[in-house]
Amino acid sequence: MSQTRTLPDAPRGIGEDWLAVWLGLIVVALALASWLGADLLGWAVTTKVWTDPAQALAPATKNYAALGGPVSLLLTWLVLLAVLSLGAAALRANVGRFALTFSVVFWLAYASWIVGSEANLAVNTPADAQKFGVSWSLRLTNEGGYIVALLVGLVISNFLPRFADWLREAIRPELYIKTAIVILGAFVAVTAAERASFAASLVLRGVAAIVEAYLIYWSVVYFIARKWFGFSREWSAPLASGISICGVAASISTGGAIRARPLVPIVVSSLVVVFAVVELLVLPFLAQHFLWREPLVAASWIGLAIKTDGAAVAGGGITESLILAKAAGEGIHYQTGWILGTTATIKVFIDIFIGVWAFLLAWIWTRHINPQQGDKARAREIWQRFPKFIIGYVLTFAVVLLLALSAGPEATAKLKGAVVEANNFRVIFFILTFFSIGVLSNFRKLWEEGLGKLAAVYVLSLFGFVIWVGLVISWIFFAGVRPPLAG
Amino acid sequence: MSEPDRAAEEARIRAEIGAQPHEPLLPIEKKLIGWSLGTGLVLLVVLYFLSRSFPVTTG
Repeated sequence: MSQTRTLPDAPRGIGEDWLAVWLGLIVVALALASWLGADLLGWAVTTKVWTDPAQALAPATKNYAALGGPVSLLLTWLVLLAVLSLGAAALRANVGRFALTFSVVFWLAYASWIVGSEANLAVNTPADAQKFGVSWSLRLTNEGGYIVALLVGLVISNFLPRFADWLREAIRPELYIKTAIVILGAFVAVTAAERASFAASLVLRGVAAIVEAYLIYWSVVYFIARKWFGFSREWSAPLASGISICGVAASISTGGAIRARPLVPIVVSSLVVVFAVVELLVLPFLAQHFLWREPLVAASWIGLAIKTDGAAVAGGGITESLILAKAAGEGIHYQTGWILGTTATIKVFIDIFIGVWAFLLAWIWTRHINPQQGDKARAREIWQRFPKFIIGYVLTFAVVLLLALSAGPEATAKLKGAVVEANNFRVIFFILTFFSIGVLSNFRKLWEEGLGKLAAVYVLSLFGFVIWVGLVISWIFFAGVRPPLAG
Repeated sequence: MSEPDRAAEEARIRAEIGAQPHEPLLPIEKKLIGWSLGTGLVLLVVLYFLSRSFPVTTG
């Protein structure tokens, strides 16, 4: 297991899923206060593309302009430190250690974001190049900072392993991305409200993702693991879930369902982050190059092909930024939010059924494969294994959608402004996620004793099957379906 | 379990990967694979025709 694995929460803590729900709901609730006239989150820092570092940072809203960028950044750190330290206490984690390591994580991650917003990295159209006076650019868009954060994390993980290990109390990519996803529910709702029937038709297509992940991917990967690589049932089931459904969470749920030894799914899923990082560094750029004319095919593909919540949803964010930039360069201006929203919704749909699938496997294992006296699959296991952060996503989505559909045009415009303030925090949690994923990805793991055969299953399944079948399914259901145009 | 014990247990479990006992596919496993794949393919076809019956509008 990686030296930099996240620490399990003590049994009596609330769990990262519920903490993510509360954190996300608090951010959205505070943001909605501005819809009612009270700007409670406008002090948070935002970063724009810069050539002069003094101009890079600014508070989110004009109400707090007097603070200036650096003070705004300091405030953002202090507030997040306080709130997340309370969260660490609720998780029964070492709060002092968390506070210290989170501070280091925050500053390294946000510094990466600032670097990624430098014009020579971010600018992606000739007009912007002229505006900023740069003669060359890597064209990563202003979300290229995510890639910088990921790369900094990878350097730390692979070249400074003791530092990576020291940081681990605050390396919680699942907590950060789940909080971001809860906040994202509000953003997706306000986007969907403008084109309700379009959003509904996307949902129908998203159902295909569930069918593909559980019924097609899982069965093929299970067969490959059992028949071609000779893995036992105890290993193959969590492996199939980790590769097909959702990495760590699905592996552990499946391991519990089939009564595997607890460390088996953890070892199985230890490689998921490594492979997700490789996909994250490659697939969004492939999507931009080959699929910019079919943005929602790209969105669906990212959601189906990348197998952790953090990397998939974060990958959707990068893909949206890259494709919108490319399309804009060709004179096509899509509305923001549809690509990221589609990827997130597909991933959430897949996550919803983890508990159901685990229950089904538990039933098969306890009745047919390994029946034990007194051990039966119980329906309450479906709730126990249900990813609770989805409740937060559904809540923020439902509340904001209701508000948006019932408000008049002026109120809707204010609501969108309020959601943008919440979205600033979604971006910050994305940055923390990318950095954390990088720190968790030690590529030396691939050569660790015993893991070569596991890595081979990952390579064959992911790069030989999952990615390509995901592309075909995405094409079948989303080709020709394009996001609405902006303006 | 203490950290050193956990690390030792993990190393033992990893060592198992290279020496898995042979477990032939049971009939129930073949059914699980076959039915999952078959149902998945049928459902995809159904969903495809459903999606074509409800064309996308950007309104």
